[in-house]
Amino acid sequence: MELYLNRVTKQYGNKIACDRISLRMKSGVYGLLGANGAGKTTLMRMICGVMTPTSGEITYDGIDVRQEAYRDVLGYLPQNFGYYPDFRVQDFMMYLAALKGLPKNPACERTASLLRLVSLEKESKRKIKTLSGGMKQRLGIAQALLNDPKILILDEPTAGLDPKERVKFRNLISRLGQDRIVLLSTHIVSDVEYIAGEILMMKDGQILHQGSRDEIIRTIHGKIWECCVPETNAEQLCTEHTVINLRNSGKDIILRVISDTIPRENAVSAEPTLEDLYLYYFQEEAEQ
Amino acid sequence: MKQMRKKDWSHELTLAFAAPAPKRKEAFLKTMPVPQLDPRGFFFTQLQYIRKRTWIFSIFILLACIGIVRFASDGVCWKTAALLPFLTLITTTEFARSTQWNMVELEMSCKYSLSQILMARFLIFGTVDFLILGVIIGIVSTQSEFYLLRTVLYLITPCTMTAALSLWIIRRTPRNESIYFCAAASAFISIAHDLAGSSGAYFYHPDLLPVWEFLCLASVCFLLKQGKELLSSARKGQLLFIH
Repeated sequence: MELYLNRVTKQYGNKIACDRISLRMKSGVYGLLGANGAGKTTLMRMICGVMTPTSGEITYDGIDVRQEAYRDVLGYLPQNFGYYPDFRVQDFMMYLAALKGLPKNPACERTASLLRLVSLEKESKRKIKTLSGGMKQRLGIAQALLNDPKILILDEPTAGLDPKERVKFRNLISRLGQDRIVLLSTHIVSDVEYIAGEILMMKDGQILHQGSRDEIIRTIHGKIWECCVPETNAEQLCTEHTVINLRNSGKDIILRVISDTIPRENAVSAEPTLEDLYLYYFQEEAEQ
Repeated sequence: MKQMRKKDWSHELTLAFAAPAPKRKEAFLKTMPVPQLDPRGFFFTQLQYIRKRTWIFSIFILLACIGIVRFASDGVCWKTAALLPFLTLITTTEFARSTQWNMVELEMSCKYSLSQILMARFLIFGTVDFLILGVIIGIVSTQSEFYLLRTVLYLITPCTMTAALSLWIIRRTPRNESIYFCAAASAFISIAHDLAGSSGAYFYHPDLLPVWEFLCLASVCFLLKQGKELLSSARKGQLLFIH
């Protein structure tokens, strides 16, 4: 089981959305992290065959992304998916099951079990337009699993889910990643931190880092500092450095700062987290 | 008697010992071949998802044409021809559904992808419209002052013109508005027929026959080109960028 991307590039006019990306993915959960406009959605769309790369190739066990056999093992949750307005939950699942090549009886069974899995079994007769945002997102997750895919691509899957649903969803993804390739993109760093075995950091259409959480965090070792300063100095420090966290401690303020050099004499080096890494690479976007 | 005792034994055993939980059931089930929907099965499932109102409206147009032939004293051909763009309009709304309701991305990523869905719809509506048009041409030709081929020419041309224009519009206008543009195009062709037909006999004058033939041929070619381009756009993901 191997998903292979070979120098995949996507160009829109003068803008390069994805720049010669090469990856080899085996079973497991891969988290794609990046700011808005980094090229995450474009990359995911190309992996799903929804968008044609300008150059490069994408294959799964030698099957080209354009082939029906590739789509047969693919499950995809787009960032913003639509639905026909007259569809009920059950109709939506049955319609997509037919497109995924499932005959009626297995489709009914699969729909029932997946709706149970995402706690929507009681809503199966409801019109989709009456569902809440979180429910729609859970429905999107259920449809992606209809054909028991070997490649599961989830674009912002936890958007709109409440904390309880997110935890449930994270556990589900972890289980699914045992025997398939799961690629998920999100802005919620903690989601990736908890479940992704491998993290891909994307910026300006390129993969900056790829590796386990500990491996990629190592790149900012010695660049995270904590210091305790009076309120008057805190303002100045905020303008000079990227401040990740700021909390009051009596008269003073404790700051968590990203800096290549020691920001103040009394600053102490802190253990970096994935969120620190994210802000280190995307500080301009974060400031915007 | 012997069999009864066996049955009792098995019953007693099931009461005395709980059956062990299945081991690796899921893994075993995964090795079983999953039945797959073949292309013919897929085509028939697509029939189920065509909106009822599409069928109802198509039948309504057919009945209206029958009514014209039955009750109109003259101008049966142009009156019927003025109605036919609306038959085409109903069909083309089915081709715009995926873009209109933002289903393009999901449908493209499925085994039977968007281009195959569109092909199934082309086949369904091509057949249905062909049958409806066949019935209408058959009825109109009984009352028409023209011979059969001319009747066919006068009735088919507005249909192919509307279909070609609508397919062109679907790929070039914002997804929420494309239906309105298609409706406008249909209404324009319909009203043009109505006005030209009612204003005098010159509309169907034999001198204009080459013009009609050219229009028919050009619109059929344009329709085929638009159909091919729509399928190609669906394959390449260009329909994604219609906002």
